[in-house]
Amino acid sequence: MSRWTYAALIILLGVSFLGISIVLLLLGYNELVNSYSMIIAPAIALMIGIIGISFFGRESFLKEDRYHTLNVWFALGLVFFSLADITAILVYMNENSSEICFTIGLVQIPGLLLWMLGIVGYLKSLDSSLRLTEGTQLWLAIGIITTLASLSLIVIISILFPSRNVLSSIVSIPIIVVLGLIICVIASMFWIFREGYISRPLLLLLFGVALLFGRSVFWQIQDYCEGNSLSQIAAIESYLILGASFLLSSKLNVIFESDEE
Amino acid sequence: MEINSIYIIKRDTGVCLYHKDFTESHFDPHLLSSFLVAMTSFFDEATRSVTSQARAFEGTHYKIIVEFGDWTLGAVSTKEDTAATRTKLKRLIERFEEQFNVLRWVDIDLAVQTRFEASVIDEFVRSIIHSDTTIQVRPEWQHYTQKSEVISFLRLIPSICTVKEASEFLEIPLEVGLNLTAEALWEKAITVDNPVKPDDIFSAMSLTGSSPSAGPLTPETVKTLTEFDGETPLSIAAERLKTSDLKRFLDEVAILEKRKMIELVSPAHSVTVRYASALQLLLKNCANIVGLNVMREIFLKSREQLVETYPWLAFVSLEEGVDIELRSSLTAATIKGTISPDVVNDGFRVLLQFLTRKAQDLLGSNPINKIVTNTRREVQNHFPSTAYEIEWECLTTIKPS
Repeated sequence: MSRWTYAALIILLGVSFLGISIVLLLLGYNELVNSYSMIIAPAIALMIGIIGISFFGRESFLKEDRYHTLNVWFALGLVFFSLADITAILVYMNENSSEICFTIGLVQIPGLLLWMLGIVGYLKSLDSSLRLTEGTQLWLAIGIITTLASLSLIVIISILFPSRNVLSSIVSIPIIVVLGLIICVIASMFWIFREGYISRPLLLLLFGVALLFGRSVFWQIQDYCEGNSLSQIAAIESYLILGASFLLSSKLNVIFESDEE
Repeated sequence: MEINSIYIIKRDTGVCLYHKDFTESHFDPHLLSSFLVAMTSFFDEATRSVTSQARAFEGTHYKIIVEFGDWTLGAVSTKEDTAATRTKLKRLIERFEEQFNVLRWVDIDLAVQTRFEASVIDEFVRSIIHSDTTIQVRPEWQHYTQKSEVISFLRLIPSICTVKEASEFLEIPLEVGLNLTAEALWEKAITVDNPVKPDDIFSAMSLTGSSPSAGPLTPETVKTLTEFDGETPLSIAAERLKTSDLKRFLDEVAILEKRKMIELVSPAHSVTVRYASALQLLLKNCANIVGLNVMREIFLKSREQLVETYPWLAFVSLEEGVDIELRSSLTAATIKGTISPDVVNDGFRVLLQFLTRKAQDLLGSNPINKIVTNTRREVQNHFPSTAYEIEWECLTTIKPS
């Protein structure tokens, strides 16, 4: 079986999981869905992270292979997301904690930083081949955009909703901004390469990150990092889609398989 | 000039049908033709073989290379026996046999000497004249030529100028200027010199040179000698040496060439280096997006598919990453000229186009066209005069109707 088949199986697994969970939720088994999704979410994130590292980790850094490095950073980031989910379980178990979003966000930040590292490295590599920008300092540009957007949003939300926890906003808003920025970059890459095979793993990556972005935005709107079933299911679906993207990325030479057929 | 003289001889009689001497020597062509026919017949007899034929006779400073037609034999006196010279000679024999086929059966005067002139100029003279070739009009040139167009051309141009300058001065198309220069050279009314260009590739021959009496070399010139490895174009060598004045650097190279301390590599080797450089840049630019392993695999699979048609491509492989490695067998063949530049050019062109098409499947038409454009620009920096000879694949976007 080729890795394309494995990727399809992972996507099928995600769809099945989603279907079963919706059915169970409609039947009123909220507690059951909540319990298993809490355990499955960090396990899947950790597993996909390790799979990604095993696919791309060996040669990426030594050979300066930028595309593989991007995937390695995402895989490492997923490991941190699994830690964030484990933290979330601990926090929910300890109901008296008042800073749930702050705690989860803090653990998510290193993972997000690794993703940014991968994205910026890959963008630089892309830029050196396609000459998209003329001598722009990517790190600087992204840093300025993130900081300015985060600060503005924190100020706006603090003014509009003074009752909200500022400490929680300081952590969660930059996460939303960074995830949004990552989505924009991946969406641009997908648009540039829309005719080629590489657009397929990029599209999956885009969906995966978009689900996490949606969850973070939802938490921010609610002003509470709810650990309900839907939130956990979104995380699981996201991790599975990222896993499928890794599998497709590791087998881009599929163009020859189609020739041989 | 790559050749000293040329002879076309009737095989069964040993009569010299056509000859041209590009040097000042006065060697009897009929004596040489009788010798060549006698020697080739001797080899045929001695080896008792129909297929085995003498291909060259070697002297101390020259070689006489021989090629056979259906009823004629062509011989060229040259310094180096290269595949390119042999190809030209073969083509010339074919043209001769076609144009003067009647001479196979009867001996009549067909004014061969004048009527075949254009073909020889086309094969052996025109190829050494480029737009930046320097023309030096000989003193008393009027004694050498009777051709009216050459006389009018030489009368009007400065005594030292490039072909391009002469064409612009006379307000004639460059192509006409190139042809007139070739005719003037044929008539020996001018001498030509091709200046050292930034994309020329030299290899070091001797550390002392053939004329030590010409005086000591400057330390800067000696330093440049280390960069002539037969694989680096002068533009890159100048970059490595951090030369600020490229013109001065090229002058130093010309001095070394005159002293025979360095030598221009063969055209086949030059084509190989140019294409290898272009291939490497294209692979690197694509690998920046899809990864090294994928591009390595694309290269190796493409080569595998082409090796049946171009067996020598088996000697082109990859080092670490996507660095092109030319195996020593291929390098030796290109340096010696035993593989023709046209063959090398053809194989690399197909490989380059193959790779581009495969990369298009991964990236799409627009990004790959952009990569090709950027790669072409990078190659032009290193090979400003010859980069245009690389035939790139330009891919069109198929839009749904």
